[in-house]
Amino acid sequence: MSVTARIALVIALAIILRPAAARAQAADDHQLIEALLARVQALEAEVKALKDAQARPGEPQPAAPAVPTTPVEMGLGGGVGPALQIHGFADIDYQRPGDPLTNGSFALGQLDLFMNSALSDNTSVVGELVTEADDLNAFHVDLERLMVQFRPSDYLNIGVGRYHTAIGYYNTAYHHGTWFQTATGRPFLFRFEDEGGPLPVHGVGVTANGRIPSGALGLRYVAEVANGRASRSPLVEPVQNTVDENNGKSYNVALLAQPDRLTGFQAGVSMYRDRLEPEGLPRIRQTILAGHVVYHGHGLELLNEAFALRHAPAVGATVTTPAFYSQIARQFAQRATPYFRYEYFNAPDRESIFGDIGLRKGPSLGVRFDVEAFAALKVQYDRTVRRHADPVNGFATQLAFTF
Amino acid sequence: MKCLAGFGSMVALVAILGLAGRAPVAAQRANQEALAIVVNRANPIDDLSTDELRKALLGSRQRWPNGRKITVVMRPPGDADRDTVLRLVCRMSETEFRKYLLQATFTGETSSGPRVLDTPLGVRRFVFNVPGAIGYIRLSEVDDTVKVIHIDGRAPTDPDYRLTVGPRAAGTTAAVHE
Repeated sequence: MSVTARIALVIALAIILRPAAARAQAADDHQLIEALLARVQALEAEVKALKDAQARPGEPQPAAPAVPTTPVEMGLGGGVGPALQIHGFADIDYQRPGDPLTNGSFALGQLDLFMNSALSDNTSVVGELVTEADDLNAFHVDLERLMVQFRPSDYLNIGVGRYHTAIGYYNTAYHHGTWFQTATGRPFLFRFEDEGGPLPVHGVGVTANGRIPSGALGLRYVAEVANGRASRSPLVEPVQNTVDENNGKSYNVALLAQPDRLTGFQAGVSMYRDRLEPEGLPRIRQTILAGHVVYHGHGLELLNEAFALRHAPAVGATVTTPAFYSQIARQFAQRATPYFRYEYFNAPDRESIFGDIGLRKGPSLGVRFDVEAFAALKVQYDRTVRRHADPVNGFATQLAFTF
Repeated sequence: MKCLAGFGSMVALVAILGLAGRAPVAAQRANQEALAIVVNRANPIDDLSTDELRKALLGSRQRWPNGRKITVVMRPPGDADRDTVLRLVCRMSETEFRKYLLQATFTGETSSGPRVLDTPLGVRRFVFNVPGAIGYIRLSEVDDTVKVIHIDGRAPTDPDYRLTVGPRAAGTTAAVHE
């Protein structure tokens, strides 16, 4: 029996063997909470109405509202089905990439509709539907995430579907909503596959994570099995949503530490392995090692991640591509956040998958203004130094918001 | 001798300044009221550390030791009690808290945020009825329908209890608690 089949069997057994009573209790609790919340909110509305009536004795008593006063969820109505929450994220940009072949342009960024719904106390669904325009100004709709999560305890959270792989830190901390990010875009390493990013940002498969009993050390684990990424080619869809190019699955394991004493601090390591079968080339064993140290707190953001992307072809020498980025940001007066990022990615010329990327390094400097609680204006300058090519200076402004 | 006199004067000065500085603090404390962290009476938990409380409020810890799901109930944004809990426990402003919750939902870390109820009465009723619920109300608003837990080993009646809040502004929901 293969390793993948064993893992699937263990997960299936864990789900099946979970006591039916516990499942029933979780579902009952969820329904009870929803019913109570509605009841309490209705009672509060009545009390408020009565108080208002007392305050204005000469006026007729207003009727109490029949619906909760603080509706935060959009349900199917009458408790027919699970409530669905939808959040929108979008950005509108002006970009001048610095490439002489590309004009400065206003640009619609991604329109990201994020949906989540709790099916019970233990089970939930997240989905992310993104509409964006390509380089030919044509719009496309992509299902960027669709994952059913089952969380029977803090020690086990299993997700099945399409998710962001837990390679390093940035990929799971930030998804498609640019409003969350301090900078206008993701570090080059974490660019999405269809934008030329080198990492398998998305995975289709099974992901599990949870706490490790470790006291104040706050250890967590992640383990993932997925189809992996198609061998890097701009001509094919890189995320293997329905068909894997081979029977080999990708594996990713990560260990994270979030110590109690250092609120906002996280350190972690991860290892990702896959087998690539690029057309016309020998089979390649891919290993991606990542380590990170990050801190968020007191208005400070420190992100540091380092990578070694190792490709071992069946024939020929193993090639390792080192990469890292560091980002520092400091928020002032809860509005202005100047930031600085330095990125480095150095694929040797003989690298068969990333050879076209080669060397990319350079700083980004910018400021984020939180003009509203849920809208931010960002201004950013980038300088990218490349091997065998002139450096490029880019400029971008972005209005990112959530609604 | 002069040296001793000078030292004595310094001590006296420090004492006076210390007392002068302490008087307003004492007066300020006298106006403060403890915020009690309340759970369902069936919950076996008696004490939480501030770190544990923060994790529960932020959703990074979602289960009680007995396996029950933690359901957080809070007052609405703008409420002084909520601001105090966010500042002293979560170490966040309202904006930071909302952004945190949105991001936690977005990353799939939590599936829903805290329940929001307008009145202490509502909080008490909710905590009374939901076995895994946790909320906060002023000590004067506590009754025997809910269980008050210690924070870092201190009860709300202890003089060094940290979770305190100033008097409620006139016309707010405080009057609704009965």
